[in-house]
Amino acid sequence: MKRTIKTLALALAAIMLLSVLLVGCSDTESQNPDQQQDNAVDDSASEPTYEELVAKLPTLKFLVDDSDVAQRDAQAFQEMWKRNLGINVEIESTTFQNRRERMQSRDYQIVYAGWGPDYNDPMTFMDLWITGSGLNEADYSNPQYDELIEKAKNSADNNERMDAMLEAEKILMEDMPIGPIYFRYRDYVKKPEVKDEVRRYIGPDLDLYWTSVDGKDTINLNLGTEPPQMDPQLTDDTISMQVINGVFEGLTRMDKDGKAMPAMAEKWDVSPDGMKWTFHLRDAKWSNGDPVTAQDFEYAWKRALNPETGAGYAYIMYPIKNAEAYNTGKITDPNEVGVKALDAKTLEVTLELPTPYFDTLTSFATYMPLNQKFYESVKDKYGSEPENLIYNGPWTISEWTHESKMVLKKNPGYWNANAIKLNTINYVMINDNTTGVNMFISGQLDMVGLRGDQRDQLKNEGYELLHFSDGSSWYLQFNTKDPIMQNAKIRKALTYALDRNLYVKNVLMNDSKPALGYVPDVMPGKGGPGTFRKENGDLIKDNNQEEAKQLLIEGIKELGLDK
Amino acid sequence: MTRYILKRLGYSLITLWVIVTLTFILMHLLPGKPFTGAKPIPPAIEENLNRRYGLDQPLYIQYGKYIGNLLKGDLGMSMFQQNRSVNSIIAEGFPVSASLGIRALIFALTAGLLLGVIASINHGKTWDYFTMFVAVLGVSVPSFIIGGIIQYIFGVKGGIIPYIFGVKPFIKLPVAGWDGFKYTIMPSFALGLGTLAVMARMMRTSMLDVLNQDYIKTAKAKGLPRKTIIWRHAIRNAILPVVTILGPLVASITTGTFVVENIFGIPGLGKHFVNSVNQNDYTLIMGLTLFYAILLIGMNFIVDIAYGFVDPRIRLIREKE
Repeated sequence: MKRTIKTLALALAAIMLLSVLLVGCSDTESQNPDQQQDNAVDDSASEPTYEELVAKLPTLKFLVDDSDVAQRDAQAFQEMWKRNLGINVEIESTTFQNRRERMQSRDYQIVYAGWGPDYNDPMTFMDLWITGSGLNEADYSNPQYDELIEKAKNSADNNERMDAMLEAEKILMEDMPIGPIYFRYRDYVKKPEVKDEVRRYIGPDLDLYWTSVDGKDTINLNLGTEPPQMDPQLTDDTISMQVINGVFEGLTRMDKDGKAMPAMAEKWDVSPDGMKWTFHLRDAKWSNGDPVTAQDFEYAWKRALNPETGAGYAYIMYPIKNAEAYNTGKITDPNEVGVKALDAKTLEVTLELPTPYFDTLTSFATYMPLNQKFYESVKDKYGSEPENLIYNGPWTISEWTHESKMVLKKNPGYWNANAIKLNTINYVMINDNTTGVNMFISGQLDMVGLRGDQRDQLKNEGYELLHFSDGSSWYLQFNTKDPIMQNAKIRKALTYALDRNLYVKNVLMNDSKPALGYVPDVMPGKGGPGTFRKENGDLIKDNNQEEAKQLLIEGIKELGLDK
Repeated sequence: MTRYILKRLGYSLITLWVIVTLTFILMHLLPGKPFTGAKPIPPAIEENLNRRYGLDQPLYIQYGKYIGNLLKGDLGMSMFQQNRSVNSIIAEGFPVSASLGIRALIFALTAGLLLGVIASINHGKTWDYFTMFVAVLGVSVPSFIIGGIIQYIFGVKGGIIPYIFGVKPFIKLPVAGWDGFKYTIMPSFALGLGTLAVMARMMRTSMLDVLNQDYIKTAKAKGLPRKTIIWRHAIRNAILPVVTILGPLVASITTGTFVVENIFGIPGLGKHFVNSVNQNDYTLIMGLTLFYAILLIGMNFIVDIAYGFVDPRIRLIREKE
């Protein structure tokens, strides 16, 4: 009881101190413009002061959802804008779904958004902002940008593609429909016995293909929730994808470095123009004994693209010839889609555009094979229970208690079973991360992800904090059709005025990296993996208050608000 | 009696229809779609998804289809976990929640009523204050705090219990999961504590009221032993308000709670009540609402009948009607 009172008193004191500090801040703040005013008086007496001009700017609205995390971030930015630019930004708080709907109907000024990569190429970030893209919710349009992206898409030469995208990113940062904030890194801890776990930023974030645990052949992990969709063609969440990656296998599989390695396909040839890919399948079996054939792939891919199937990730197959046309109903004959089983062991894929990374795409869940005979025997129940699935991956689902746990056992019929070290993977489905951490400390889990505020606890328990990039880029997104936000200088001012280092260190409290460009640091460039960001360097300066103020004034004048 | 039951049944069906229709309308007024995620979806794909979920049709057709299936006992497929039926989600989740809820209820009822009685007969003394302290604690401290604390003490740190009772030290309860009796102890406690507090307070007030009535004084004057007065005369009357709230209480506690299930990783129904709305899982929202409504109506009905047995006065009035 006494302690509670003490804590309360401490908290009160802290709040008082903070408010004093804040008042102090605004005092120093108002001093700066005063000095500016003095200078202005020297030059010309009629020139309005910074403060007078800024006061003409209507209150900007920042649309955020009502989750704790979103509120926290919004308040941090609001505070920085107030302190660094002297403007009031109003936080409009609404439900997650309503925010999404308003973004879709462009009923917003500023939102805080992010994008995670679907495949390992900067294009997964870049083609969001082409004119009229369904995903371009900033309504950004620049013909020069569109042209560069078009050029990159139509080129099979890596250097040429990358050069076009590097150039495009510079344009994007000049027009600033989005203002970069940070690249997300996530923390986790593991028991020291766990070796060779591979964390990824494409598809499933944990790959256990090479993993071993000293002294046992079992690993206990937290899946977080029930996997919502175990049908590979329909799935669109990383939880399901993690299990699917364990129990299914596509033509290729990603190796430790995220490059394609042979899987169901033993080898593949690419035509010189990069438009025709021929995959040669190895002898492999489904868990019911049927051979895995090229027809299984053709059937699965066409099913994913069939508009009736309604696959959320169908667009990841759009590099295939006529895939988009078929999926969007422009053509109705599936035979026009550029995928064909020449025989049981050969799959020929014709592409719409040269796609140098097509081999890594085929490791994605949507590209997994499907045994037609089995699918037709279970139909809509496919993927709902272990008995309604057959497997061709390293493990099989041996036990599945919905919402509670899932047990994977090594698949003895897997072609590379000797290389797989884990016999059993026990997944629990614990949604509450505090509970997950408690289970890890008490020994019920071998690995667990951390929130920023949990880092100290685990560090004190003696665990080494590990982190990995989840590949996502987080940015302010501006509605470029809004009367105020249409002005690039105002967008830039808002972006430049933020202190990313401070935000990452004190708000996120983890190893995420402040973003001074749009494409995350892990994306490949001309020089191989993780070079794109280096090749384009920093395109903005962090906490660039002077320039931000300058731009804000210019923006206000350009919009004619000073009149 | 039969006529009474039939009449009640008729009213219940009308109530259920109103609930179903209102929920259906309100739910579709909510922004978003079952497949709305953090990532935007290309419009062409969204069209395909709409068609697959049957959301491209006018609302009255969707409503007609739903009612048609409902009359056949089919609650449809979940829209978030697309290949699981709502029937199976309820069939798998409810036994877990009910099992946990009943344990919590037994704990809350026995301990709560006992504490209430003890407090009332020791009115104004130490036991009374102790009970009320427990009750205030139980009502005011939310279950996620209680849950978090006991999880840390008994799950992570390995328990205080062994030291107090001198049993084999280092008995650790599993932090979370659902795999047998020892997994149920902590969540039952966390779930039951709030109810326990309500029960204790209610029983105490009710007992104090009854103990001051004339017939108790008469019983005392007759020279009946204290035990008989309390057990035969006081408690029987004092327990009536508790029976009244038992109906809704059973319905709510056996369908699980989001918080306790979340903390202890229990595969119950409770989390679906919250998640289904967040995910716009239309069929699951409908199924759960309907299921809960039926349970609630059923429980209230049972309580009404049970009343007659506990309190003969109510039975008399009804028969006069």
